[in-house]
Order: sequence, then structure tokens, then C-alpha cells
Amino acid sequence: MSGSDTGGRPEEGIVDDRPSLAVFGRTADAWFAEHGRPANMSLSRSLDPAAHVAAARKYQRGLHDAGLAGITWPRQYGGLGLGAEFQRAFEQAARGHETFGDVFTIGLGMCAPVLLALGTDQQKRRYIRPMLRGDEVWCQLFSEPGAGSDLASLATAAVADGDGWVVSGQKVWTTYAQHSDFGLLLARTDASVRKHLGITMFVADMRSAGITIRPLRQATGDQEFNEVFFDDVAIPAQNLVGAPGNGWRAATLMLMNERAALAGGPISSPVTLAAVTELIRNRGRQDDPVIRMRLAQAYVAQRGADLFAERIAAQVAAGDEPGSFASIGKLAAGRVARQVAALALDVAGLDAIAWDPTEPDGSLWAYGELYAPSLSIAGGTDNIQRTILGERVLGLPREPQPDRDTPFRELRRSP
Amino acid sequence: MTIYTEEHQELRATVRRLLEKSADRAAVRATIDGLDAYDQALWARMSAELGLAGLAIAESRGGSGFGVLELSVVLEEIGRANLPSPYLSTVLAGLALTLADADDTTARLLSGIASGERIAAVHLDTGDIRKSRGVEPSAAGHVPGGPIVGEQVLNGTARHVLDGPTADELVLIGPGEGSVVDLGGDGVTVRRLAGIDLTRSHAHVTFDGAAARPITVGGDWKDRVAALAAVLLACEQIGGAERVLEISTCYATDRIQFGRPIGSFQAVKHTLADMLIELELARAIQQDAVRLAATGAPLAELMAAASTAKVACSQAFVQLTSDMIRVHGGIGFTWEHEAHLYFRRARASARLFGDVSAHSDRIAAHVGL
Repeated sequence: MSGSDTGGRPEEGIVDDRPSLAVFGRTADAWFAEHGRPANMSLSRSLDPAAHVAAARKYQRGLHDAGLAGITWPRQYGGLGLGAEFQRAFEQAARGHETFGDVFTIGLGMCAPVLLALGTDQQKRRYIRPMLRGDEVWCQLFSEPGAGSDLASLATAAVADGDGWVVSGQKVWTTYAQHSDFGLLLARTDASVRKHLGITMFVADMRSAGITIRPLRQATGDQEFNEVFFDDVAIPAQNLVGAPGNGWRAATLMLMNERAALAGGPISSPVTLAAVTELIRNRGRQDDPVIRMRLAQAYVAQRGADLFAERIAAQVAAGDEPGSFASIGKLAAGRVARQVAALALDVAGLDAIAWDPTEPDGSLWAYGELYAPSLSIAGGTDNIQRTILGERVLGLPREPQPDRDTPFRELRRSP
Repeated sequence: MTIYTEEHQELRATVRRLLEKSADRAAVRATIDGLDAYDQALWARMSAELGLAGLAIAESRGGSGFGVLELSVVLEEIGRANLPSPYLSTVLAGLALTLADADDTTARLLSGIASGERIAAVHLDTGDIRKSRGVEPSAAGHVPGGPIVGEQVLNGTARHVLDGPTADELVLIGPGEGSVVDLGGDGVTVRRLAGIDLTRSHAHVTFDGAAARPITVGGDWKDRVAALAAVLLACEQIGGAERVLEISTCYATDRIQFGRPIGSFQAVKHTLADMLIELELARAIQQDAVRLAATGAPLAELMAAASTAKVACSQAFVQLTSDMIRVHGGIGFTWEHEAHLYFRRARASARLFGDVSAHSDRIAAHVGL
């Protein structure tokens, strides 16, 4: 990931016992052949979340013990120190299998790259390896009721207290907070400066006294995300990530990694193109020209998203910051999910709106459609991504920002 | 992850420099207004001097022995410049002949293409053309100068032949059979067509007892050539779409309304972002197809990738050229502005070598329907 500046090169003082690409590829193939299970067709995560997370931890532990985790990360922190081509070989082997992206993307795809890039040596030694082993699950404590798209207007406050900090405020939309051990927290440490300048990042221990987690029920009926309340939560000084006031830089890095990770579709719709193709055949609709056209369009969209994600993944594995360009992949993944889910719903017809509970097939198609809108919101709304692309990739002028030079405490904010 | 090396980037820079100098907006406009199908001096520089026509032709035939990867670079640049040029047809004919290369006919035309002396076109829809065997010059029924033994007699019409008006030779690509016709020969009438795309020329080519030289081809020749045609055209489309986004971004940055550059308004900014998204997703697909075509992938895989690229790049180029006019407002709808030239080419390209519905049907079959 982005901290892998040592990826592909031997590190001092460590015996170079790294596998060849061929051996690594065979190991990965063999592991998935024995332990892998098909991707996403089950609704296990909504039916029994605790069992789902337990299965995810077991999966990640298995990968780690087989020498398949942290592929491009530095070896002194538990990674394998291998090059981008090994990451690609792994992804090849993992294709079509459940990889529990919903549980691990935030930790491995977002928090770890930030810790590797900005964390202290002590933090990297403490947190990276347990994350790779699946022992510790991480969440992202960013959004607040008053700070959604405008994340930099966040109000959760961290006040210096002796050696450490005391945090009070509220976070929201915190995916899997209830299953997490740690989270990367953004808090305001200085309200007298412009909003982007007064933010600081911390590692929060989710079992600290004063943290209350309240699950939120989503439109699908699932309980993936939560409200997290901080009431005078003590955070020790060594949990500071980077310097006080530098949290926005850390947040930006994390959000870039988030878009790059989401481009790979780890939380994509449970309805796959293969499933819809089978549905079309089962319903005898394979000669319907409208259905053929729509399936072809969905396939083209899927190929675009997949191939673009490969490009971004290769860039990330090679040690480049994914940058704002990755927003394209996030938008593409959402678009595919909507297209595929809508097609399934149309082909299944009345069976997707009312089904016999003993034949729950229809519930899958309904679930896919109900889930789809979330992909246009999670990780930054589609419109925010378009603004990012317009300004940071195309270099278009920004909107006038009346709040740009105003100290945070004087800003007009949502009640 | 890029499929291109530093050498490819140098090739790109060379072609771009040449086209920016010799085929800028004014030069393209002059070519169109003069009703020329292409700029002959520029063609001579590209083909003879820089060897671009022979890039993918074997060294033994006078080419430089590269392949589809190198052609894709040149075609992207031609697409950017929206250049009126028989390049696409000629290099496609070169690829088709190289796949079949086994006799004098293919060897001679390949050398002619590589040296820049011959412009070639291809025709993939040969169903209406009747072929019969040539006769001894002494036999009854032989017309002086007409087809003889070893040649074919052609009757019928090849419709909508791309670059027909400029081509010296036409390669007829049928299922499991092929032939080459000299378009300057007896019994051939080339009728130039008017068309939506001012930067391309088409012709109906009528054969009335014209002579054709048959070439030996493999059973899957036509499918392979059709797939390559789609991939090459997709490269042109991506180049065009890329340039269209650049021009539109530039305009949105410079044009001031309500006291602000219009590109600072979300409505315009998001339109441009959508153009970028369409372009880059189509490009990811096009690059994959180029990679497969360049490495001689199995036919089924190549055909699926080619159809996917043709659909993605056609739809992207069509969408971007519509958006371009929208971003420019009134000025973008004037004859003088280049927006309509790209808009026109996008519409024409979307229908060449198989339209979106034909390729979509193939994709549906590939996916499992």
C-alpha cells in the first residue's frame, strides 16, 4: 500500500527468504482452492453479523499464516515486502472468492496505509501485524451529524490534558464500530484557526471508557453502521497520528485510499453479473433483445470498472498515492452495482417484490436493489467525487468558498 | 500499469509534434474545405519519411516489424487531431494481409503500403459481390485487359467502403476467402459519397467484370480482421475523446460568466467530470483490447475484448462530443468551431465496423446468453 517504499527490495538486517512470483501464485491458488468460498452470493452479513465478522477474522488469520497478507508492506511491521506483481497474483487467485472487504477494507485498505505513511515506529509495530492477522478490526471515525460532505467542519473536540487528550463529541455512519477494536479518529484541537488547520488524527481504542456505540438500522434492514459518542474519553499522547493540526492531510490520504479501495468493489452489490446471467437463462429470457442489450451494457460497465480498478491497484501496490483520480473507480463501481441490481429486479419481476419465505431467491434481488443507493454515498457522495475530479484532476477553478478564511469558531454550521 | 514503454512515448511525442505542426485546426479545415480526402504531403511524410504506414509490417516486406501496440499510439494521435487520413484503412489492410501473407499478391501490396506508395482499404461486407474464375485470354468471352486464369471476375457493389475514394487497392475480406482489387483497374467504378463525417471519405465501389487477385487465408481470418478493425478504431475514438475533454476543460476555465469562470459552477464542473469518467473507463477497456490484440490472444478472447472496446469507446466518444457542444454553448454550434467535426466523427465511427447493437449482441453471447 502507500507506505510500501521498501516493497520489492530487500531490507537491511532481514534474511531475504521471499518467494518467487510463481511459488507465491501457486501458494495463493492452493489456499483459495482449499479455504476459499464463493463471493457475495450469501447474505451472511445481514443474517448473522457476529458470525460473519468471526468468519472474516478466521479468513484473515488463514491468509496471514499462509504468507499471503500485507503483500507489499514493509517486512519489519509484518508485511511481506513484495512487489506489485505479487499483489496482482494474489488478486488473480482471490477473484470470485469472498474476501470480507466489508470487514477489512477500512483497516487494511485505509487505516494501515495512513499509519504506515504517517505513524510512529511504535504505532506501526503495535498495530500493523495484529491487523494483518485479523486479530484487530478497525473503523473510521470521521463523519459527524454536522459534517458530512463538508468533513472539515467536524466539531468533535480533543482538549490537551496533561500528557494526553480528552475527547468529546459524536461520530456517525461508523461502519462496523460495534465489531471494531480501534479506529482512526479526527477531532478538532484548535477552533481559533481555519477549519482545515485545526484538525488532528488519533488512534482511538474502541473499548475506552466514555465511548458509547449505538447501531443504526439501514434502509436494507442491516445494521452495519453506527453512531459513536465520545464523553470525556481519555486518549494517551502516543496515540497521536502525525502532528497536532495536521489531521486534514492524514484524512485526505485516508480518503484517497478509501476511493482506491472502493474502486475494487469490496462492498459492491451482492448481486453479481454471473448471478443475473443465470437468472436470465433460468427465466428463459436469453433471446429477448432488450435483455441482451442491457446485460451487454452491464458487462461493459463491469469491465470498465474492473480494468480501471486494476490500474489503480497496480499504482497503489507500486507505492504511489492513489490520488484523486481513483474517484473514477468509486463512481464506476456504484454505477455497475445499480445497473446489475436493476436488471436483476426487472428479470425476476414479481418474484422480486413478493416471495414465498421458503423460496427466498427474490429477497436477494430485492436486497441488491435496496443496497445499491448506498454505493453512491459511502466514501463520499457521487457529487462530491465529481467535484474532486473536476478540481483536482481537470484543474477547474473552485467554487467561491465563503468559509475558507474564517476561523472555525466563527463559521455558520448546521444546528 | 501502462501497456506502453518509453519508446512508445517517444513515438507518441513525435507523431503529436508532427500533427500539431502540420495538421492544426486550420490545416484540417483547409483539407475539408478543399474537398480533399487527405493532405497528400502530410501522408507522404507520415508514411514514407516516418515509416508510420509500415509500422506493423514485417521487415522482410519493407516495414519495421512492430505491431498493434505501436499502431494504437499513432491512431490515438490521429484521433486527437481529428485528421482526415487513410491511415486506419491502410494499416488495417496491412494487418489483414500480414495474417494471410503467403504469396506474391500479399507481398507486393505489403511492400507498397510499407513504402507509402499504396493506400489500401478493406471491405468486410462482401455478401453482394459475385466472384467467378478468370478465363484464358484466347477463350471466348474474354475482354481485353479483363480477368485471366488465376484471377477472379468480380461483379456487384461494395457499399460504403471507408477511404474508397483515396485507396489504390481494396482488400475484400470474406469468410475463409480473400482477394485484392486494383481500384484503378478496368471494370471498377468508385463513386465518392457525401457523409456526416467531413474528415472521412466513403465510396460505393461497383465491379463490372473487374479482376481480383485471390489470396490464401485461414478459416478465422475474417473474424480476426473484424476484431482488429474494432480495436484500431477504438484507439482513434479514445484519442478524439481525450482531445475533446481537453478543449472543453480549457474553454470552461477561460470563459467568464456571472463574474466567474464557468468551470467553477458545479453544473459545468460535473459535466466535465462525467466526461472524464466516460473517457477513462473506456480507455481502460481499450487498453486491455490493444494488449490482447498485440499479444495474439486466442480469437474468442480477442473478439470479446474488441466488441467491449468498440461499444465502450463509441458510447464515450458520442457522449463526450455532445457534452463538448453543451459546455461551449452557442459558439460550439457554429460551423467555424471544431466541435461539430468531432461530433460528426463520433457518430460515424460508432457505426463503422459494427455498431453498438451488433457488438452488444456478441457481448451478450460471450457473457453466456
